[in-house]
Amino acid sequence: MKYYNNKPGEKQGYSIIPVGFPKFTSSFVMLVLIIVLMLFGCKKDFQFDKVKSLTWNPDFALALVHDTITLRKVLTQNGAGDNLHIDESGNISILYYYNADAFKLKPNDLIKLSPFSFNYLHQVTPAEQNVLSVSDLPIPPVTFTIGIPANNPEIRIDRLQVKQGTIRVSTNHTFSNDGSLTCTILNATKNGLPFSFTLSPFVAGQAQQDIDIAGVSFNLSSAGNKVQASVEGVLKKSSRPIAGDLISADFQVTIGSIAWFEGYLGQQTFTQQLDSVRVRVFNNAYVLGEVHFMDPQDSITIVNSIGIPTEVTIEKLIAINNASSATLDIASYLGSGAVIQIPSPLITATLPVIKTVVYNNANTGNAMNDFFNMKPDWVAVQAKTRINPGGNALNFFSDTDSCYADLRVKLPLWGHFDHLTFQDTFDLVIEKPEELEHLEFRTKIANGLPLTARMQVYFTDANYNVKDSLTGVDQIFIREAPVDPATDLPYPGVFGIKDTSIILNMNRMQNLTNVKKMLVKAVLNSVNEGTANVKLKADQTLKLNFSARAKLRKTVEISN
Amino acid sequence: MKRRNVYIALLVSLLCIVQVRSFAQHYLNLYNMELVPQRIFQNPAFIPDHKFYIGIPVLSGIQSSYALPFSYNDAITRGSDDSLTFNISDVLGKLEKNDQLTFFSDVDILSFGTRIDSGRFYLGFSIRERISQQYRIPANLGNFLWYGNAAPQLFGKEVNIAPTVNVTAWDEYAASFSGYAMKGKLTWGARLKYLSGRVNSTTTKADLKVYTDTGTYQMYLKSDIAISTSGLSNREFAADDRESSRIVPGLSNYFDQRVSSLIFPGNNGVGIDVGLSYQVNPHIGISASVLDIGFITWSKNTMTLVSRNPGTEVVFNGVSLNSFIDMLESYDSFGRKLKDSIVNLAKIDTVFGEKYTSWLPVRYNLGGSYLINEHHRFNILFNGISWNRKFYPALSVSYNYQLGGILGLMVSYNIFNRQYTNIGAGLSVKAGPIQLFVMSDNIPGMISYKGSNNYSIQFGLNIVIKGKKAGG
Repeated sequence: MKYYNNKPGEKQGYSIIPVGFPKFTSSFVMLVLIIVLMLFGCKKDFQFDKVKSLTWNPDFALALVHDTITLRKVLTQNGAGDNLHIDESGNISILYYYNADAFKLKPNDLIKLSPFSFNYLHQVTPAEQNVLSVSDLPIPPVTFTIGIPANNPEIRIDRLQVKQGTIRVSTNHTFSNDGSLTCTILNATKNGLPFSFTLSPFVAGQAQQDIDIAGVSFNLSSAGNKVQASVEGVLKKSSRPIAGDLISADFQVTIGSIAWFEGYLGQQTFTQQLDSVRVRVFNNAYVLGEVHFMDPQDSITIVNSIGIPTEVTIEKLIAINNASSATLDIASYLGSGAVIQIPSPLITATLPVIKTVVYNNANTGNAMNDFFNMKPDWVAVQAKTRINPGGNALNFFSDTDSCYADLRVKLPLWGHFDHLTFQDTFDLVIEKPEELEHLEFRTKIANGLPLTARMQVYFTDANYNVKDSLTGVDQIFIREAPVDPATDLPYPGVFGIKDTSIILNMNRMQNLTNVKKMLVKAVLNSVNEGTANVKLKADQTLKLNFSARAKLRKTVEISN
Repeated sequence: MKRRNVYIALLVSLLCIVQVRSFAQHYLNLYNMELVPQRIFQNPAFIPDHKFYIGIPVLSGIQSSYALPFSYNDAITRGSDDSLTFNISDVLGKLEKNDQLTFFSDVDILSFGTRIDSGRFYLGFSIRERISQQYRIPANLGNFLWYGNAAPQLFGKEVNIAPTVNVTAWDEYAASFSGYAMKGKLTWGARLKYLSGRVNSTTTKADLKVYTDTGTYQMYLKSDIAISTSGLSNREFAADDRESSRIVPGLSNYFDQRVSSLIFPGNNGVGIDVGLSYQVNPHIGISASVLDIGFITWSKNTMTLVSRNPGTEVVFNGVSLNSFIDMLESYDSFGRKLKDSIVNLAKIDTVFGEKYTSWLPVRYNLGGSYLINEHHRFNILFNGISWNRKFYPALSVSYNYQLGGILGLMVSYNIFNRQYTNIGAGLSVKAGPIQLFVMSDNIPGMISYKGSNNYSIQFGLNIVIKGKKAGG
C-alpha cells in the first residue's frame, strides 16, 4: 500500500521562520548540557581524535555453499547444450557437428548450359522493293531449331524455367526503316503466353539489344533438348530498302541459372573436399589420462530435396590427433555402410528425403573404438557422390533445392575414464590475508556420480605462479558412488561420502598475499582406477555443503 | 498509618524496585517542589499557591534527562598518554544487564495559569515540545557484531538480536482545570491535551532470533518485526507504486516543507492527565496522578518495516556453488554479499503510506507527605512509567525546606535505573515576581558524570504573582 505523501502538485514551502524551533530547542539544550558537562570535566576525556584503534577479532561460523549439482545442470548452465544430447532416460551424449557443408550439392552445379545462337539474314529482292514503293511489305517467317549444349551429353531437358538469362540480339542492317522484326520462341512461354519479342525500327549499321528471358519456361519434352525459334517482320512503305539491302540479326541465348528443371541429368560423379569436425572433448579441460567410450558413434545424415536419386560413398573417415599428428582412416571398416543410397523425393513432396547412417562399434567391427582411442581433435570425412546411379530417371529441382550432409560425432557418456584431468581458473583477490587469523574450511560432499575425484585448489598470482594450495601435499579425495556392474550405474540412493576439514592458520594466510587466481584441478577416475565401465546420467547428483569458521583480526580506526 | 507500617511499606517497595529494571526518566523532585508552578505538570491537582504565573517562553521549564546502561568510565579508558580506548567488551557486558537507552526532553514553550472564581478553581494553559526516545540494543546484537556468531555467547544458542526503537517527538497544547472539594481537603485536576506528532518510530514487534548450528554452521533465522515510522523517510511513491523522484520532507530536509506543515504536521492525537490530592490531617497529605494517557495517529510520510512471514523459521545453509565462486572474485565484497544473502532470507517488507497509532508512555505517581511545620516536610513518592507493555518504577524519599514563598530547598534519595546512589536536590528562589528553579534527581551523576549512567535536570524561570490561597 503506497500513497502520495504530499498531494500531487502541492508546492513545498521554505520556512524562514523557525517553526520547528521547539523540537530543536530540546536538542539544543541537550547539547548545551553535554557541552557544559564537558567543560566542567576534562576536555581530554572527549578528544576523540586520540581514540586508539580497536582490534576487531570476531569468530564467525557460516555455511557457505549448499548445492545439489546434476550433470544436466552443469552441462546446460555452461552453455554446452548445443553439444549435448540428453535423451528421455537421462543418457548423455556429447555431440559435435559439421552442419550442412560436410558436402553439399547445388542444382546449378549439376547442369551447366553453354550459350547457343542462331542467325537470321534476309536480302531484299527487286520485287519486294517494288511492293515497298506502294505499300508495306510483310517478311515471311523463318524457323530455326537449335540444340542446347550441356556439360553432359546424357542430359535431357524436358522442362526448364530460366532464373537468369538473356537473348542478345546483334543487328547489322544496310538500311533504315520504320518496320519491325519479331522473334518467337516456339516451345517457350512466359506467364502462360507464347514468348516473343519485337525489334523496331530497322536501323542501318551495327546495333545490339539484350532481351531478358528470366521467367521464360522452355518445354523441350518433345524436342530433344532443341529450342525452336521463328523470326518474321514487316517493312514499312518507303524508298528504302532497295533491292540488295540486307536484314541481319544474330540471336545468342544465355541461360545463367535455372529456376526449375525437369529431365534427366545423366550419371555424374562428384568428389568433395575433405571436411572435418572439431572434437573438443579430448582437449582443454580433459588434458591428461585415458578415456574409453563404450559406444562412440559417428553419423552422417543426408538431406536431399533435389529430385535426383543419389549415392554417397564415404571414401575417408579419419581421426586426427593434433598432439601426435597421428591419423586413422576407418573408411574401409564401414562396410556396406560406406555407401549410402538416397532416393529422390517425389515431385509433389514438400519435405526432403533424409537418410542417416550411424557408424558404431557394431557395424564397424569395433573400428569406432580404435577411432576414438586416438582421442581425435578432428574427425574428417571425404565423400563421393554419384547421381542417377540406377540410370535414367526423372530428375527435377528448383534453384532452392540442395542435397547436403551433416556429420555428427556422438559420444555417449558410457565407458571408463582414467586420470581425466579437469582444470579451471577463477579470479580470487585476497587483499589483506593477515586479517584472517584462522580459517577452518569444511566440505561435506555426497557424490552420486560413478567417478572418483582427487581435487586440489591452488592459489596463484596473476602469472599463475602457485603461492599455496588448499590442502598442501594432500588432495581432497571424493569417493565415487558404488556402481552396479550389471548396469554400470550407481546403486540408486547410494552416494560416496566425503567430509574434509582444512585449516589455514595465520602463517599460511601470509602465503596468500598477492593471490589473484584460484585454480581448481580435479582428476577423475571411473571405478577400479578407471578400468570399469560406468554410465553417466543427467540426473546423477553431487551434493555439496561447504562451511567455514573464520577468526578475523582487523584493525578498526575510530579516530578517522 | 503507624510509622512502623510506613517503614515496612517502604522496604517492600524498595525490594520490588530492585527486582525490576527501571530505565525511564521520572522527574521525581519536581513532584514535591511546592513553590514551583510547573509541578502542576506532574499532578494537575497540584494547584499553585500563586494567583497567577506565566513561564518565560522557552525558559520557563526545561526538563532533560538520559539513562544509559553504561557510563563514560565503562565505555572509555584514558591512558597515561591521554589516548582514549573504547572498552567494547565492557559496554557489551553492561548491555547484558541492561539494554535500554532512554532520552527525554520536555521544553515549555509557553505556560501560564491563574485562579478563577475567587480562587475556587485554577485554569492553566501550556504549549510544550516533548521528545521521548527509548532504544533497546540487545547485548547479543553487539555480541553478534563484535564477537561473531561463533563466539561462546551465541554459538549453538537461539538469541534475539532485534533492536527496538521507540522515538516520539510531539507538540502538546494543553488546558488544565483544577479545583477544591471537601472544604479544601481535596483538590482535583485534569488536563486535556491536543497532541501534534512530528516524528515517530514505534517498534511493536522486535524478534529476530538467530541460531547457529555448531555442527553444520547453518544459521536459522526467525523474524517477527514490525517497526512503524513517520517523518523519517524521504521516499515518495506514486499511485502506481513506482518510486517518485520527488523527495518529501524527512529528517534530512525537515524544513523543506510548508510553514503550516511545520506547525501542524498532520499527525493528530489527544491525551489527558488526571490527579487528586487529599490532606488527611494538618500533617499528612497524599496525592496521585496519571499522566499522558493518550495517543497519536501517524499518517504523514509513514513507512513500516514488517516481516513478510512472521515467526517462520528460515535456514541459511549457503549459496549455490556458482554464486559462491562469483563471491570469491573479491575478498572485500565477499562478506557483504554473504551478509546480503542472509539478510534477504529474513524478508522484511517496506510499506509506505500506512496509518498507525502510537500510545504515549503513561506516567503514574503516588505520593505522600508529612509536614512537620511550615518550614519542614518529608515526602515519599512512588513513580512508574508504563511504556511499550513494560513498567518502569522509581522511588523517591525527600526532605523539603521552605522559607515562605521565597525559598524552597529539597534533598532527595532516589532509586531508578537500577541505581541506588541517586541523591537529588532542588532549589527554587523568588526575587520579586521572578522565580528561578533548578533541580536534579541525581546530583552526583551530574558532578561525577563519567561514572554515572544517567542524568536529569529541570530548570526554568517564571513570573509569579502571589495571591491569597483559596480552599473551596
